[in-house]
Amino acid sequence: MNIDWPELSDEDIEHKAVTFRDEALTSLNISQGTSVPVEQIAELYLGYQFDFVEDNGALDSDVIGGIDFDSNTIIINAAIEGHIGRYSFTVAHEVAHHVLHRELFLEGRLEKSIMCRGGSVRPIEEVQADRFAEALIMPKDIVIKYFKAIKSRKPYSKRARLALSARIVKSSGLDNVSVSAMEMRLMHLGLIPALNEKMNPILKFLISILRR
Amino acid sequence: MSNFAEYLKGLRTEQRIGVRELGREVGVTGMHISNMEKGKSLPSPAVIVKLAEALGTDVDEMSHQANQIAPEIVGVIQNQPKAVPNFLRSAKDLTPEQWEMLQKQVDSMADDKK
Repeated sequence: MNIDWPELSDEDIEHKAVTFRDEALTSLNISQGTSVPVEQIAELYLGYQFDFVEDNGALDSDVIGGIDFDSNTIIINAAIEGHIGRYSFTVAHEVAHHVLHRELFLEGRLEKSIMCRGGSVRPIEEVQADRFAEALIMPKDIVIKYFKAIKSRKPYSKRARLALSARIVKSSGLDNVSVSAMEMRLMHLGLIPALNEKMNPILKFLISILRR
Repeated sequence: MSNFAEYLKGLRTEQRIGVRELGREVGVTGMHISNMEKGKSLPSPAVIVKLAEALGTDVDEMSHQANQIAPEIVGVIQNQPKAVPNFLRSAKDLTPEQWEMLQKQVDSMADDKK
């Protein structure tokens, strides 16, 4: 299938996610708390049903979720159900496909097929769905508020980044978010350095002296 | 879709509880809840009790929808293996009004026992 997915800026995706979340929660009459109820949004607001499949060939082994627009079904690899963070992110990712890609997908496909999450290759529509999912389940204002409340040095090492992310997940009450998803969210919001960004060597030297 | 499948899904969606969330509350997987709602599997008596509790509904009604008998009732029958079947055979043709009178009588006897 060859669909020419439109480019979407991070701001576009953030805006679409915020608008969608507000509409969904208003429609469901759910007050905006911290943890975003993605299961309810997918099922009760968008009308999808869930289908859990075991690793029996229904999904490729590296695929953890999918969406079938014909039968209004979100397919979840049963192996991830035990991990609330991965589960919620996968549901949010499929919701993202509904919001961002459904129309074009249905117009552009040649045969019945589903969109899947997983695999090592990340085409543009998958990257967009990941960004939307992040913005949907980790509201920007909440993340920034709790990030600011934690006085922390800029984390460069993986360990420091994950520790900070874990603290934010815990303090914010975003309890359906994984630590690694929070790390990506912080990075995409520019709150922590990008993965390849190195610490200023002078600063690194000064810190090493202070630690002695 | 079976009666129980529709009944369970209706109750869950009415209360806006997610599939996985309900599974966690009753100690089963979301996949099991999803399968029950598709009529692919049925709950055990123990799961019916937990489902009824989580969804705030009557366990007897839920057992009835699942074509099962609540474990508590099974226990009563097992404790009185002759009396209960005999009683039910005798009472099978009673009218709803007579059942109601009988229930009041039994409640009164149970209260006296306390």
